[in-house]
Amino acid sequence: MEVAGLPHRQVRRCVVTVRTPRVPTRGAGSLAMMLVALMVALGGCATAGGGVPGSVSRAVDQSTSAVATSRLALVLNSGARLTRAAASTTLSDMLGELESARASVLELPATVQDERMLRHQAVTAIDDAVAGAVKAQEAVASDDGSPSIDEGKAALDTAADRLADLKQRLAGSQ
Amino acid sequence: MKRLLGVALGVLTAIGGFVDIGDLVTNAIVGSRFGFSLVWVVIVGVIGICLFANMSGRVAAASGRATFEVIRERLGPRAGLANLGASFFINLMTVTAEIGGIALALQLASSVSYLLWIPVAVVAVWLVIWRVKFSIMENVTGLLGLSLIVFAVALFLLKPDWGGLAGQALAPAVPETETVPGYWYYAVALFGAAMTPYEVFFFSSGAVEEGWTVKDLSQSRNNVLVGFPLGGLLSVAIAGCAAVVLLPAGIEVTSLSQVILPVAEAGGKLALAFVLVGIVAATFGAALETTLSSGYTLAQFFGWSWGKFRRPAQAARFHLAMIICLLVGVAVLSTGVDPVLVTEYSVVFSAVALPLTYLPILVVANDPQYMGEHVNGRAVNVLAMI
Repeated sequence: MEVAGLPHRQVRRCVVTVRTPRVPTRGAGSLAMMLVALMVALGGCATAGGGVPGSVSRAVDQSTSAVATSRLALVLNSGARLTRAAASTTLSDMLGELESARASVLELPATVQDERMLRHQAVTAIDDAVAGAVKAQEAVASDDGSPSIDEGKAALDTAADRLADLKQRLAGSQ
Repeated sequence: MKRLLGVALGVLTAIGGFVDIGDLVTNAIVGSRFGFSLVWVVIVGVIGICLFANMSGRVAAASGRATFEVIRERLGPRAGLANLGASFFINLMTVTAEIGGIALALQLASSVSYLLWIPVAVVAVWLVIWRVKFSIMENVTGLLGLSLIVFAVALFLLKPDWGGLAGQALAPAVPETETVPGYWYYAVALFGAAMTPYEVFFFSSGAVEEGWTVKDLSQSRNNVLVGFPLGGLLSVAIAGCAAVVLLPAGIEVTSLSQVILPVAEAGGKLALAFVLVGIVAATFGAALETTLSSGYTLAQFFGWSWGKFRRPAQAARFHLAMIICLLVGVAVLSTGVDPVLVTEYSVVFSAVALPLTYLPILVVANDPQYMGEHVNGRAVNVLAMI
């Protein structure tokens, strides 16, 4: 090869190195991994702990929230502030929540009598909540007024009281 | 007059397009559990997205190329691949969540199961991407999304204790019923909901689609700096409605159906109609943006021809990539996984991937080789680094 102005043997092989400017990708990657670990830790701390009573307490909270939502949807529907479609969708969603809470209680490894009793009480209370939500769903869908809205509300109120009692007993025992 | 209308349209579109399923769900969860004590996170998130969306638009207008193309060229294939990997995975989760959001909203309107609405939503999204002009697509969904202002109206109609809400916002504290790890977990999730990566990639690619130049920078800045904070106020209103109605009732938000109950309580069926229209528009608009963003990032990384301004035959791989993303979203949702759960995970991952997704934009926006005189100022850099 001849470079203009220089004899062939004096042409040195020029190696041009194009360096991509250094970017802290490793640093960004490490930071991202640390954030993942932090979020896993925070999420775990937020939900874990307490053994069987702790898990039952969380299931009771989940059920209490579902019952309160069902009651609100029923009241709004009866006051013509919520359509039947939205109310029945809400009640279906809450039945799903109650099933999830029930399943989580049934899966608990209750190895001693106290824990077994606690689990039994929780399942009974959640079953009441399910019955209340089903009655509310029937009241919303009903064309002949049976069951009535008031019957639906009463069933949900009974379930809410039972869950509140259980919550109080759990708080007292912890 | 025409210019004023253009500015107004841009701002209104930015407001209406700000909220997506992640903002809806996360703000409602936070309001129902923590009241107004995490409002400061929304403010920080809005500042962040304003900074980076503005930067992204400036990169596109100054260089004439989309942000991701410039990132790959400027930072090299390794950095580009890391950015692509993080952004694409989050985009895919977000597409799935948004399609789920459309289906859930349609279920609320019709009581037909959301599983049956999923294929309808996907086909509609694909048809709009394929056939509808970019500006029409953006403006219609953005303007319809303004229906979500009903959350702000509902908050006023509910006659809250404004002093109490202000107290929670100005002196944030962890409520007695919650834990400190839980508080910070949701703080990060809320931040992630405001800073989802698809927004900046869509914003810059959209700037190229619409042929922005440096002359359009001031309008773009207005849209972002006026529209996004007002959109942030909508997010705060969603949290406020949940705080006023759901929190005292002991209701923790786990489904979209709970999010709309405060609006129905405040304004009845008329308000309910507005909120459902708004949710469908917001999630549909976000589904369009995230799907396009998935196509943009892949095409720009691999150097494929891209853009809605090109006919599908001229950008076949770009369109195929988007179709595959939509099909993956359908497949995930068809397993019965809860779309709200997918949404929660997507916003958390958005937050943890922030260093990989946003740092490259900051680097590029400081490079005079691409930006000319439009490089970041010192104040912007300081705020962006924070």
